[in-house]
Amino acid sequence: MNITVNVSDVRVSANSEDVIVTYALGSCIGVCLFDPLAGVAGMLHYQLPTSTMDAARAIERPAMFADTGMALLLQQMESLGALKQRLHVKLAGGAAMLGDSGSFNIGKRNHTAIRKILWQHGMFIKSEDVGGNAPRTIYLTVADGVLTIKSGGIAKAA
Amino acid sequence: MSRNILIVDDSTTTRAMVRRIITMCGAAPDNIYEAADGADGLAMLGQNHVDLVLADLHMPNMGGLEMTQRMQSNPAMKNIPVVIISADPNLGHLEQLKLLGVRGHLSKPFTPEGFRTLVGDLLGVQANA
Amino acid sequence: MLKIHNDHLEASLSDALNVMAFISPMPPEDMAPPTGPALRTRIDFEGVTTGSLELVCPLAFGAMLAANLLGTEPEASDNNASGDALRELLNVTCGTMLRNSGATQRGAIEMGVPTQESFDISNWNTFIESDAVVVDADGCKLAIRMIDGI
Repeated sequence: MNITVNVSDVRVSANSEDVIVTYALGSCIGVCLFDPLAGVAGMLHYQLPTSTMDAARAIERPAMFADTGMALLLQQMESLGALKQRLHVKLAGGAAMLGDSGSFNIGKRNHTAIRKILWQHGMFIKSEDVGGNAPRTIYLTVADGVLTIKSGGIAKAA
Repeated sequence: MSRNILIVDDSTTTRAMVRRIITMCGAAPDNIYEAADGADGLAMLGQNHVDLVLADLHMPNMGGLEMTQRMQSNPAMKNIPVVIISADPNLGHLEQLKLLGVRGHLSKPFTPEGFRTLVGDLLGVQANA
Repeated sequence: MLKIHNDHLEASLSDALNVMAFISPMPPEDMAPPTGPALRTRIDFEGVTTGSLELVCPLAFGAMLAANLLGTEPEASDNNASGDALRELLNVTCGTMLRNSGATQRGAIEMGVPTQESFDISNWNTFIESDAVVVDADGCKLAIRMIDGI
């Protein structure tokens, strides 16, 4: 069945029949993790690069920010038996939406933030589809970790 | 698979970054040696068995280009694969390095993924695991 | 002599900060001098275009930069690591600028090895008034300028 990840939300699954989906990623980023051995997949849909922007909000809604959201996603993945060193990482989103370009480009800052977190964790990015200026809807298949990205009427696997 | 790796860069930070990425790749070599310039690198190569050299170009005393040239003229060193990791923007240097048989060139700034794609097979790990 | 525009300098610094150090530089809120001890790092280049780049920033930024490069916390960075990280940042910025401006397609340019000295922050205004680019890098102010050679 389809599991929907809302904005500022984390979902994980170990059911091979599930597909984890998030809709209309604009400047937000979808972080998709997959442990092929444990058969566990998870997705984070965060809005902002760092919890230091609003510490109180980060306690209330950790998945709103890249750092607290990633900690939550990893914790939930590990609770289903996933191991950090086995995880495949795929990213999508981080577009420059209308009226948000130039130096304040939040999509680009979101991407830089997750790259830093992954570096601190010692994790490589297996694939990514980031930037541009079109929203993306993404589907993560729990059975095999395949990520399908739909944007502008075109679907591609990552 | 490269069991013994030599990193030649005058920046201690870059040497530490490269070390970290090698570990992240899951390569687990027996030894990672470090040298701060080309002369130091050649001395390390003379003293140790090395399977792979990762070298910068701009360094005090002796740069990576001269070090690679000297390796080429030394029968004991000429077959050791060399990958250049450098901010050097000169197209002419890249041509010279190609002629010297270097196995690859990674431009600084580089990402961990860019490093793994270029050096993964020499480390004996998948370039995109 | 080929003139490199400041836009290339700013874009190259931004690219280096972003790719190697995971920092998204922003325009500064003001031009006031940063506090605390500061460093001036310099690199010379010579060839179809000749000149130098100078980067001025608080020592504290060096510690943050080193930590980002190494994936650790800033407290773990000593002064040597901070200085080394700044020299590498300038080295990479310079190489990127010379490549992206198209300068190296016109001929060879040799880059030197970066040097460093402490910077008296009371000279900040003079420094930035000499056509420097100022950015805010995760809360630290950095100023970089190009000095044309002969």
